[in-house]
Amino acid sequence: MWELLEEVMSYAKGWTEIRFHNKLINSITIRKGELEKSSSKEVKGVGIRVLINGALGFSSSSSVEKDSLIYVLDEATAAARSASNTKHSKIEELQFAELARGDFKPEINDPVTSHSLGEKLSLVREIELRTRKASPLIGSAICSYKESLDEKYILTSDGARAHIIDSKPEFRVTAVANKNHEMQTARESIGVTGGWDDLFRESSPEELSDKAAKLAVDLLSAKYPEGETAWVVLDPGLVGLLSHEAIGHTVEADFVLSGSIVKGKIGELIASELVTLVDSGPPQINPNPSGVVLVDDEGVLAQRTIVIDHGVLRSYLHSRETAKLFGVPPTGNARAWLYSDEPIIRMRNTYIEPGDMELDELVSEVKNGYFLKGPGGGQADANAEFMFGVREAYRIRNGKIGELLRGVTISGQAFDVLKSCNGVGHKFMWGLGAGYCGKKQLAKIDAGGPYLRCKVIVGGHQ
Amino acid sequence: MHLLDICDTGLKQAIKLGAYEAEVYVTSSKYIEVGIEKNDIQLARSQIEDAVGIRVFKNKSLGFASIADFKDIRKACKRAVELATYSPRDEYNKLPHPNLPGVAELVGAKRKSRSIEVLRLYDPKSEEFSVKHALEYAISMLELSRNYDQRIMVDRSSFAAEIVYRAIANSNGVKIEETSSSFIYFIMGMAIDKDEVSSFEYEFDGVRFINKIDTKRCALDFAKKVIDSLGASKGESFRGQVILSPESVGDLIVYPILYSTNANNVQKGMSQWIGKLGAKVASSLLTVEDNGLLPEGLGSSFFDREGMPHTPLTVIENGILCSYMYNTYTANKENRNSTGHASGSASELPGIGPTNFIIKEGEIPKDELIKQIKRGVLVTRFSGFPNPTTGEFSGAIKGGWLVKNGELLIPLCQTLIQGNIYDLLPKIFAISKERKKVMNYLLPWVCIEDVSVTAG
Repeated sequence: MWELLEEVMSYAKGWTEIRFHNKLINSITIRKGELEKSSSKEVKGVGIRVLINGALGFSSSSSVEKDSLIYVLDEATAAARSASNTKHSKIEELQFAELARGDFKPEINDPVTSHSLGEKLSLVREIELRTRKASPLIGSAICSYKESLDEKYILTSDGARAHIIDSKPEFRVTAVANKNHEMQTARESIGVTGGWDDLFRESSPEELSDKAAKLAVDLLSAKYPEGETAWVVLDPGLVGLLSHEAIGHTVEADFVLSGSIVKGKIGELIASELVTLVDSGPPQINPNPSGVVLVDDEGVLAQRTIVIDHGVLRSYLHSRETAKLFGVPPTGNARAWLYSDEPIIRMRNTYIEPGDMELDELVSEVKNGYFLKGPGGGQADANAEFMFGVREAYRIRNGKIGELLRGVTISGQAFDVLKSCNGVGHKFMWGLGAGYCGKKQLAKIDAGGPYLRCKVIVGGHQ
Repeated sequence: MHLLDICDTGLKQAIKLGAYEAEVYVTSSKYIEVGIEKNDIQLARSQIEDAVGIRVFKNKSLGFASIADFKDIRKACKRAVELATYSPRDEYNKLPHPNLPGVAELVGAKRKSRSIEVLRLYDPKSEEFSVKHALEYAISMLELSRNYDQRIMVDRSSFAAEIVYRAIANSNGVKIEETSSSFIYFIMGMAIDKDEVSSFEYEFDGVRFINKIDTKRCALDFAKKVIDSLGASKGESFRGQVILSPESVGDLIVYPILYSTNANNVQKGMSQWIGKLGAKVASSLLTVEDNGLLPEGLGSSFFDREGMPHTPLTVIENGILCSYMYNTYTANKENRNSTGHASGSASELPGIGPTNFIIKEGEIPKDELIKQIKRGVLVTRFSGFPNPTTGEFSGAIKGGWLVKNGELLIPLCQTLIQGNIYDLLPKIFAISKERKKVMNYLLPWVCIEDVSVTAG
């Protein structure tokens, strides 16, 4: 492969990046006893990006032949030239970076490829059945397993020459409970960067199944909350969602340049001093988060980037292009989902550093509030206003966790929420392992943190 | 190489490797796009992408593999057959047959010329459309919105043109191909006024023909929305009336309807509308149709992901549930014919999805609807995740307005709405005369009673 890519590079005219990427996704889904999916999807090709006359051009092809790649290089060059004629702010050059050279592979314990398709299919089938049989009130269940196996060769005209292997398996269980024409669902999911042992280290498939089934049944008799602004204790999953969705996107440098709410606020206190927020390519604190990136798709060695240090905004997340504009080193956040996607600024593993409080302490100091667990969907806005679904919500009264509630959504302005933070737990967990981030293209990300106490708007029935 | 020849190669390989039935779906696309970021050109790009999806049944067991390089077709066939070897037997695993109604008319037809003349899916001029043309449209959208008001910041915008050639063949004799073109453009951003950053707003559109491209409308509608959303404040908490814009109708009403009429969800016990065919599920004002044969429709094509013909389908008529949407597998389970709703790309197994999804217009102009509201909210955009299984939704109103005594009073922020959409569908009390094309949906403004509104 190197020989082919280097030959194509010899035809390049300006700064050029050539990326071969083969993504193999194997999936199995069983729903209500029936196999819905057993598929193997290979997306393989080469993407070439060039910088000519101050503009970027990108072209890609699923054919990995010399002639096709030379054509792709010509197309990218022509696109850059066309764009250059109308682009106002020319890109002088990309920021100097410590570029990766060599072979890169994350920690993988018991590779998923050493487990047969038959074994994976049996597991998915057993867990779906177990979930469906957990209670007479469970009417349907879905169980799925997915593994994404990636191989990349990244070559840039200024020195990157990285061969990257990656493995990211996921496992999901959904239970659907029915009673008197009413329906409730509950989902448990995990995902890691690593192997089979890594995937099931924290929770076994059986535990995930039992949790989903119990919650779906319990939700049938749960009530809606009343809408109000309240003190809440968020679990690591929701802390991760808040860190990624509501804070993380606002510190992506491309978004900062567009005018995000934190533009020009480096060095300012933007959160409680209890909050230190990090985005890291390599794993931190707990092993195998699913957003592990050792080398980004520009060939930059991925860093551990402290975004907020004890409440003070310290850094944005950068590609080589934005790093040059800001005059800082790139952070290794330029990522591409497929060969046909150009690298753009994405998060990796985003988290809040643990503090020193026990969960019991965090809850016991809340007179009237909520204990919220499990991230549902999340969306956030340019002004850091966010809206998150909550999978499992409990009332807190006089410092005690009370009844389960259904249909809970939380909202607020993320920085106001972080300023309100008055308690950070010490137990750390990753919580978005099975999650994907969508920003023009997909990205496998993870996020997490400790339990955290803060003030949010809880959506409810009036 | 001709796409149907690739299908033939794949079918022969799959059968030779042990498949009893096989289906090969091939797409080849040419794509160009110009992206804008931070009020400037970000990237110009072009792409040639091929994809082949091979579905096989062996002893009625399913296997599926997809690849991106035509040369790897044997590898994909081998992988699909291997997957089928491990899969459980399922008697409903059967592929469409040319003797099914409407299929024979498609097989052997000169699809390319019919695409041009009947459905108008393909603009021959699209073959000449270049990065330079895309640049002109992208720049015009940016300039139009910025000239509307300098406080507008275009976070992202893009103009893309695509030509897709697709072909499908199966071992029963189905063999069809089609060509289509599309031009998709969007603009997204916020307004920045001193320390105030508005919420995100966006506008998008898609057309089949170059002479139908209207980036001006898209840019100006976006600009107006984003400037109007400045000065937003928290509203009031109450239970009452809401007016949903066509975009929020897409999120809050269409999505749950699509989910609950998906035959797979019905058969797997995950739809609220199990056994409700012929029953009232919504207000009499609501009539919903899916029509894959709408000329120039973005969801239009002659055949679905399995080669079955598209035909118009009434899903809900005057509030009565009329039909679910089927692909071949779910139809086989009920011993009926597919409704032609197999959907998905070549790299995915066929699922079930809409073509052009249409809600019938009402009789009252939109402005009149607002005048009738004493106390309510206008939801321009809904930020949330309705649970389509349970119907529960809770999410933030974006670019919304508090309505009092028939007037738009203040733009809203940090305000949530909540309810259960299946309980609320019968509470639709008005639908607007005007409709808006939201990509492959055609939707009106819809008024609903009894929604919980929570101000933060």
